[in-house]
Amino acid sequence: MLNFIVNNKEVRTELPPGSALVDYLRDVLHLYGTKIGCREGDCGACTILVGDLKNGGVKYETMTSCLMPLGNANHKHIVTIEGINGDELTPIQTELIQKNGTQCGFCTPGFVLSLYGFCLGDKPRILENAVEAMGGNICRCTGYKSIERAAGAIVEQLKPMGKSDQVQWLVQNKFLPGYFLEIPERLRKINVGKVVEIKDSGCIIAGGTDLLLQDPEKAIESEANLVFGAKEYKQIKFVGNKCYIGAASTFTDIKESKELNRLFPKMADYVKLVASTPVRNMATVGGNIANGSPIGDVSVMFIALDAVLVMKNKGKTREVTLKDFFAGYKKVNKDPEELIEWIYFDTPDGKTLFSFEKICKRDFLDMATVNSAMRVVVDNGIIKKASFAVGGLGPTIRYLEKAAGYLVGKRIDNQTFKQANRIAQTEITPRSRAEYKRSLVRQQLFIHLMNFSPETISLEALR
Amino acid sequence: MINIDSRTHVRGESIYVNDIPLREDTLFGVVFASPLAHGKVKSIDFSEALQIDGVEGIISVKDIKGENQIGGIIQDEELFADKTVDYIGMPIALVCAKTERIAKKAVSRIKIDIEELHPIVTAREAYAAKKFIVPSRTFKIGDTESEWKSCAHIIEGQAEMGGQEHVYLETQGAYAYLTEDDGIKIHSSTQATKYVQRAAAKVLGMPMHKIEVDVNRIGGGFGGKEDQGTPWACMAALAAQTLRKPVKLVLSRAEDIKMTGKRHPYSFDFKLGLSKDLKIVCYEVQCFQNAGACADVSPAVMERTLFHGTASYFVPNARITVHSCKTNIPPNTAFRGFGAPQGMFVLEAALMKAAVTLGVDMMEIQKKNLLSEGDRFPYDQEAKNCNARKCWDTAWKTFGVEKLKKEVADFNQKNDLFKKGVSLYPLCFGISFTKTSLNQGRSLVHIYSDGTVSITTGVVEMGQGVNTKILQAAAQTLSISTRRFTIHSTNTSRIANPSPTAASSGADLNGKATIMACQALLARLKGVACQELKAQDPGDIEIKDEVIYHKGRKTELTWARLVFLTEEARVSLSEHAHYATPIIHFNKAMEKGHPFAYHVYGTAVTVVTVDCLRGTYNVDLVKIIHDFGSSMNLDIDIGQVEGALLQGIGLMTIEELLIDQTGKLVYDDLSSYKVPDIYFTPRTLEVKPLDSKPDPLALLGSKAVGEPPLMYGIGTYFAILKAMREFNPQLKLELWAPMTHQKCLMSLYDNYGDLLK
Repeated sequence: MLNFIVNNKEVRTELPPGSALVDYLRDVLHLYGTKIGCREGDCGACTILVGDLKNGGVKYETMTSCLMPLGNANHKHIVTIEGINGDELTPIQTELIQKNGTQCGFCTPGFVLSLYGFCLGDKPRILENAVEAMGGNICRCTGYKSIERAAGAIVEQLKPMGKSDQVQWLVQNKFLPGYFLEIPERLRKINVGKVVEIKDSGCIIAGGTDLLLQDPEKAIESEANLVFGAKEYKQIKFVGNKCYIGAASTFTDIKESKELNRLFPKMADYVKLVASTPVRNMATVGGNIANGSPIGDVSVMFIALDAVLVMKNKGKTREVTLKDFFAGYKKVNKDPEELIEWIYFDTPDGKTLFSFEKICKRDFLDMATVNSAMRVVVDNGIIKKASFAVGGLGPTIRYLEKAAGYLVGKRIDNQTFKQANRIAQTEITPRSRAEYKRSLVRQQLFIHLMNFSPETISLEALR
Repeated sequence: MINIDSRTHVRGESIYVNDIPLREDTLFGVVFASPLAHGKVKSIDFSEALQIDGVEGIISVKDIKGENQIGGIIQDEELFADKTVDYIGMPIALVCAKTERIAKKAVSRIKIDIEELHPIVTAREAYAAKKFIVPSRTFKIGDTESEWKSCAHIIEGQAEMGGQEHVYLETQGAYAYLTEDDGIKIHSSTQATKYVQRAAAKVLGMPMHKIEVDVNRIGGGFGGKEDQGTPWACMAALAAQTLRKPVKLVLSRAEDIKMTGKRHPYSFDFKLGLSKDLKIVCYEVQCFQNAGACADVSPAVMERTLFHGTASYFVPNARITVHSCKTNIPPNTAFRGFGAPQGMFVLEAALMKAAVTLGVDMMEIQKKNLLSEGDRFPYDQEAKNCNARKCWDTAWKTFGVEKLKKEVADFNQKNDLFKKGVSLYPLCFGISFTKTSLNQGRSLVHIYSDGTVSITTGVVEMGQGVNTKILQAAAQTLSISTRRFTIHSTNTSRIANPSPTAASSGADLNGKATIMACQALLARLKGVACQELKAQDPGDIEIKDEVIYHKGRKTELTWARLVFLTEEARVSLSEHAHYATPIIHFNKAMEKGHPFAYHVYGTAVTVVTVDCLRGTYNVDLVKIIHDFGSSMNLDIDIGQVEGALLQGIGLMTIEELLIDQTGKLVYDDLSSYKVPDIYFTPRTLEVKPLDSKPDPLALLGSKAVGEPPLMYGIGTYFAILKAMREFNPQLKLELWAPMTHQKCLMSLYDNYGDLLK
């Protein structure tokens, strides 16, 4: 029995935990404000808020309800557009109207909820972050500028809001209905002493973003082993010189992690290229690896870090190098019930440099055409260690051993790039759009080296 | 005035087909479609699918009591494939079950045996095989054959333009159920209630009056629901008729993309002749239109390509030919711009090639050839109130194009890894359905005894704000508060035989009809007022802000009181009016006439930055001078310009419709077919109205605005190309839209061959 709060109402359901939340909202609760535009997390029309107890209050994040397993709503506060509506329009609704931010209206509730995600989030309340909050919402009518203008006006209105007690402020200023103030207490009541309990068997479902897209029937029909939000695996820790990332960490956790951004100063920028805000709030590191995608962004990054997976099956733990984990297109060396617990890698030191590149058809909210990551250790201008992982070239992510091997002992300059590229090209056999993908590998290799040593490498190397 | 729908939109309370509360017993339909692009159907086996618990029936050609025919312009489109399949995604049957999930499962159990035939995928292949939808057509002006010799420069080449998926956020869908005495009511997400009603009547073997089609609003259409809302509505209605239960059919996004037609891909051969001083002397173009497997509206799209083949330029000698080629892909259909973007793009491509070849600034050629007052289009209409030059000059001055060009040049000099490009695009777009008979609008206005008013017209609201404009026109005509109005759903029982909401014409046609209805009501109300005030002449009576005036003097009589008295006097408070655009005509045999009520003009300035390492780009700035006539609602009109612009930029850049040799769409869902997102929109966007005259044939002088601004996106393509040439001046000029990231990178570096050495 699942038990949670939808808007101002406590609900219970025995529907399969692997079914999509959006169907429950629309078909059972008849909350038609949540729209279905694509069922693949690519349009944002079904965006909702999900509130979970944290530090005595409730932390809200946006998620796309088409890819959210119903079971992941358990013990949470789900907010749809109907849960925002009061007798009067809220300032967000008013601004969208005033700035003509709605035309056909089908995408609009999703945008409203994304803007609420922005208001309720922890990030600085500047326009850039409001736009990022809406990065998963597609509008085909307005061209977005009017929506951006509305967001700009909302940013202005939020200026007096403090960094804590946002809900209080938002209720006082009529952004949210009053019942939000009682939600923490109500959630505590249904949530008392309950934590996510990982089972030994069943279909492992984390964020659901891949499973509900690829195989919704399996998600509904299998016995679900829900692991989303499991606290023990939703953390980043350091043991010796190893950095461990819990498999249940979401992309948002990675993006916002102070530790990871200290180790990899551009980590937030890299992760911003992965999916969109609501999907990043759901998708987990473990899930991105387990689905065996040949363009998994996280996998590409971690392979270049020579990362190792820690997996558990019926109490037994084993480790496998990430680059050896992938067996074929969407196939991995893992028993279906085996749980990825951790991924760890050597904590980079001052001499380690890391770079990630992703080129797609559209810069944001898109799958990579080719993505790649490179890690080098440079001492006195000489590369001491190198690894280079590339996605998008075939059934699995490629670890370009020879090209990386060549780099060891070299200085970064045009000659080194040219030779490394020649070698890399012999290691790859792109199956589709081969010319373009080979070109992308060359360009990305160049960009990585340029990132590492902009003074010693020049555009001439590409001509 | 703000869009009247926006309050329910932001509250998520607006109702689309999928939000209509369901009747008990409703069944859910899922379409079983052809997996192959071309073949003969040998056998279909439904038995396993029918055994699934919850499956109530599988509807196919055998259930059709009328005709298996839904074609519009030409009767060449089957509702369900019968003996042959002609494209991947062609509907074969509709599985109806107690839930959508069961229906989906059953679809996967249907077995079909098809003898595969060779599919034709591209327009040029079809042309070679002589497969046409309709005979080719040519527009001519002057005499190209004799004038080529007077040209100082002749530029020839080929160009390509890809199609575009509509991605209306609300997918296609319908909900149908039986009414009393074997009638059928259909809620459809369509831009054309008449087409749905007419086709359903034919398929169901019923008279039209038994079928009621209702559209509350649609979640975006862009032309994609002009003809193509019809099949799903017919299937739902046929299933409801056969199974005698309500049936809902809403396509998933993947089904919608796979099964429905798109903007037509075109291929071109062009030849352009310029004089020594860069005036266009001659222009010839062969356009190969990829129409898909059946006609749909392709013949009309073809026509608009012909009409807009000379774009915003004066071409004294032109010969424009379009071949509508029949292929094995889904029937391509209406999409904002309707063939015009293709016709305009190829001429612009020819001008770009001329500029590159001659080493001159493209803007110089563009400017020299802009239309002037009184110039004739190839179809013989004269350019009247021609604002082409005025828009160009105003944009040049207002947006400081000289300075922009200098800034871009400076930037390019200082930067190796990023290059900028700047372009201007001059727009000219004709308003009216090119098929003259479609240019009629209808409105039904009721005044209730409490003084409130309801309006139903033939137009469908799809986000373009047309209902708001109609309300404004009515409120202004009656001079009463906008709060007194409701605009009702578009419904065939209230408005018969409406033209589709298309061709940017919905507000003009139906708004003018509304004004006519209001004027008739006003005349009757004034008559009653005249009696009540014991005045002599109804002409002395005026209504201003809900108060009745006599000879300019305010009286005690108010709107509400007058309405009450009118009813008491047994005078009708209802009026239906019909409007037909005057002046327009076209002789198809001669290919000459005066097809357009008026033209819309504008000029867009675009600046882009190309990332020359990644082959990606950003649109830094678009600034537009647009000819709104005299806009009756700038909020809505600017929204239309901004939205159309971004759709046009998407068309020219990232939206890639790729069809492989088997006729399969390669990018067939939203994770692979990418439309502009919020990050893709221009960093700076400014739209300024041209100081222009109100047009008498436009609603309240406010020119139609739905389609024209889409073509400003063409400017982005050429700005990117110019930036790319800054990085690689030698690049091979491939005039092939869209400029995807792939094409951009591959053109920036023409040394691909060196990679493997």
